[in-house]
Amino acid sequence: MPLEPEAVEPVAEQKAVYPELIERLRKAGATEVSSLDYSKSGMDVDAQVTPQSLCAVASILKHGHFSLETLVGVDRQPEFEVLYLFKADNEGPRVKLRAKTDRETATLPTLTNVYGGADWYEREVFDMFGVNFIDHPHLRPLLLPHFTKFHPLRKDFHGAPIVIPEDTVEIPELDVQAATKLGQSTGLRSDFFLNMGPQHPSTHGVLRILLHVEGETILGGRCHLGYSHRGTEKLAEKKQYVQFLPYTDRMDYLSPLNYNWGFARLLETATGIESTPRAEVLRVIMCELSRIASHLVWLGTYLLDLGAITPFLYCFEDRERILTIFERATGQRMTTSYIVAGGVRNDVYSTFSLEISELMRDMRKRLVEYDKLVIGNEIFLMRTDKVGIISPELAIEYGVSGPCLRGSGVDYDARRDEPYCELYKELEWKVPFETGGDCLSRSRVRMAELEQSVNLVEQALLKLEDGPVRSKVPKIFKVPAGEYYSVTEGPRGIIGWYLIADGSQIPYRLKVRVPSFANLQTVEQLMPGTRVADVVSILGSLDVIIPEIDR
Amino acid sequence: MSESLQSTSHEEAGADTDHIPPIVQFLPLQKALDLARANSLWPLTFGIACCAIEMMAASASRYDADRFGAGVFRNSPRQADLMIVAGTVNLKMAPIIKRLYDQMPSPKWVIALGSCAICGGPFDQDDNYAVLQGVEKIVPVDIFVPGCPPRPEALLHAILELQERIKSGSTNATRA
Amino acid sequence: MIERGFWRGFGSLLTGLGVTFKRMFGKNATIQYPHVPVPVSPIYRGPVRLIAEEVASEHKCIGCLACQRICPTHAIPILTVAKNEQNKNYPVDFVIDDALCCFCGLCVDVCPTEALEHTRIGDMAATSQSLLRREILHEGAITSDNFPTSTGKKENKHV
Repeated sequence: MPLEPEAVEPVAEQKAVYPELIERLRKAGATEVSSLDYSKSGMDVDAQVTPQSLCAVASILKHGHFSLETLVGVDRQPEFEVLYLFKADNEGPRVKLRAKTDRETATLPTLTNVYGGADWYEREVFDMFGVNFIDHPHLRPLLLPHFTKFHPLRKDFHGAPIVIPEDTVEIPELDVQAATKLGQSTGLRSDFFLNMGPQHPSTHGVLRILLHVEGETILGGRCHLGYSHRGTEKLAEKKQYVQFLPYTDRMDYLSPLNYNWGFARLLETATGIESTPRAEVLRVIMCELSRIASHLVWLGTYLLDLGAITPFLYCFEDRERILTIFERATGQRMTTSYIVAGGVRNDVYSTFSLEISELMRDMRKRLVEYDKLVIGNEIFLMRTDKVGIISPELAIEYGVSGPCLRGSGVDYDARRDEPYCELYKELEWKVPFETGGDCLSRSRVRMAELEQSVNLVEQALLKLEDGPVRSKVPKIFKVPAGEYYSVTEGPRGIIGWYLIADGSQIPYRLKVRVPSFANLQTVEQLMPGTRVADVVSILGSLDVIIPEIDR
Repeated sequence: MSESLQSTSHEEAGADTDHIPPIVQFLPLQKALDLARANSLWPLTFGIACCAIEMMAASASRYDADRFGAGVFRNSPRQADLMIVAGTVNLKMAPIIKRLYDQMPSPKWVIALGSCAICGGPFDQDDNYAVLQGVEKIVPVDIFVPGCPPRPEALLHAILELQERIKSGSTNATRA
Repeated sequence: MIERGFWRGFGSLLTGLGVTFKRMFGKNATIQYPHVPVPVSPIYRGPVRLIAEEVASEHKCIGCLACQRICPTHAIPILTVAKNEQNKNYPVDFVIDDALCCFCGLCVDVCPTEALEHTRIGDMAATSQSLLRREILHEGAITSDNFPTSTGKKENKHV
């Protein structure tokens, strides 16, 4: 059941304004509330809030079933600004709240009492800018090691020597306390701490979870991120827009094309460059192929986590066929750097359509096989059915997106609900969703998405007409000063790019809203009461990519 | 071959006591052991970033690292003798890699897979504050595989190369 | 929802076994590398080199440094330029570090004289980091001997 926003009704199709919402935000204490042009900035409503009124304004949005999409910290020199990006369901508006704090005090009230999902976002801002959030339950560095003393995204920070201190693997006392706090003590003193990761095969990368367990039952747990933090957002402030393209591949390496598209779309929103019709079709084909490849890796590794080895071999065999097509069309297997502002980098080869339609034909047969092999399997059902239930309310509060959101019964897909590609409207497909909210539902959504992607690719191939693949782009690429936001749907959910440009060739601040970040955050809420083996099942069903979270 | 490079990596790894060769040596037995070791490399399941997916692809059906006896990915460092560092090593991760390496039984070998593991790659740039300039700073590396990420056959080539070196007894590995 | 029960569960396991059994008679997926080379795409972005003309050391590079400037990973550590008698720039030293290169192809795209191109070499593995720095100016006609590949560089083979 899709949850409808209460307070807002879009007035016009093209340029919607939300007078009722604006009025309510004003009443709650927001100053300078204005409506923005969605097609230019990617936001509908912009409001300035004082630290005192922040929670009151956020509560209004919470009642309107807005979900917190991300927090963007900005060093405005001298003061800091934190942007809170909210999204209503389906056709509703996107709202941006701006809260300022000066450099010396650098404090803001926490939003965790209103939005539980603000937890990690605030910790990230604390990490990167040193902004303190008063009354935050667990304000400790999230991405950086606990021994660092700097705040990298401040504009006056210029690199630090890479020195590894001796004793970094110790579990700090605070982490133990935090893990204890999450679970309810049973009074029996047989509980202990279990460290899962960072080198653990089921964490799909380098995630560390500190579990507080009693026997097999989990009382609580804390995720520790940052084992793959690479400082991409700081790098973005040093690289030209063109040079940053390769880095977009390396954030989510299972679906680099979707990230390429997100970044290209951001630049197209900002500069007004339009891509060509042929390029648009190619983008859809490549991104849907990329989605298939990504879901195949999920299927293979998830089953590997649950103890089945065969599907891994089958899925990778199919994935290799898709990668071969990527390699022939883009020049690389994984880090494609293919989709750029104004179109795609090069045209595809002659037998492209033929090969893909053949592959899709085989894919359909394979999907039936996978369904028989996996989804019907009794062992699989026992491991996933009614395990790790994300309720729709929790999903919206934490800003969960993608198959995880649709597995919880919220019918939202950016491909259909965000006007970012006209072609998706023309093609015939549907957004699969399940109401269970458990691991099985999420798996079934992904399996159905595989089928829909095959559908989309097959139809898009018919629309492929001759023409240029890249429109004219100025040689020196500059973005006019301003703030832009763009959203695309990746295999894991909403990929959002927030850009603050100052008119030069280099971004002033570039923030990526990654889907896995919000999806993984729910894990701390899902774990209490389950068994240790269920954690593996839950983690796998969320399909997180750690370098994407850590950036 | 730059001998100096290898010797520095030894010192940096702090493996000073491990240089001492065993007092009694049986050469033919040693040769046989080397041959056995070379053909049964057990890698540690340990992926950090992008390269890990290509490592998985190398062990999956199309490339099949099992053909060289190197497809048995072990989840515990205690059972593994080959560490494939597949991805970006940062400040937070480095001590853990060192610890994992120390937990592996000797003799053990390291393959640095991809630009990041070799020298920090695309992430060791201007204002770098997080990424280690190569895994060689903390563990001795035997084979460097360039690429971003390297193709699976590059990893297979690296394994073959490593086997050659093990058979000729000239790796960086420390012998117990 | 899927109905559960003992016999259905038992049947599901048999169905799975049936699928795997059928697969046993399918096509072989494995490529027998290194005996059979892995097919590489014609536009594969491998290590960068200068396009050699008929005379080995001739090339089209005009020393404009555009590639060095655009490279996001600073993988062209050395590119020195001098002026010849006609007051035109030409490169004196041109080193590419394959260890740093991220194979994005921006340098090839930006080159005004199309002097650079990608090789299609995909299986490099070196025993030392220094083997990955290439002086591409004097490479001449490229063969896989210049790279530490399975068919190439003998230096790599250790004594």
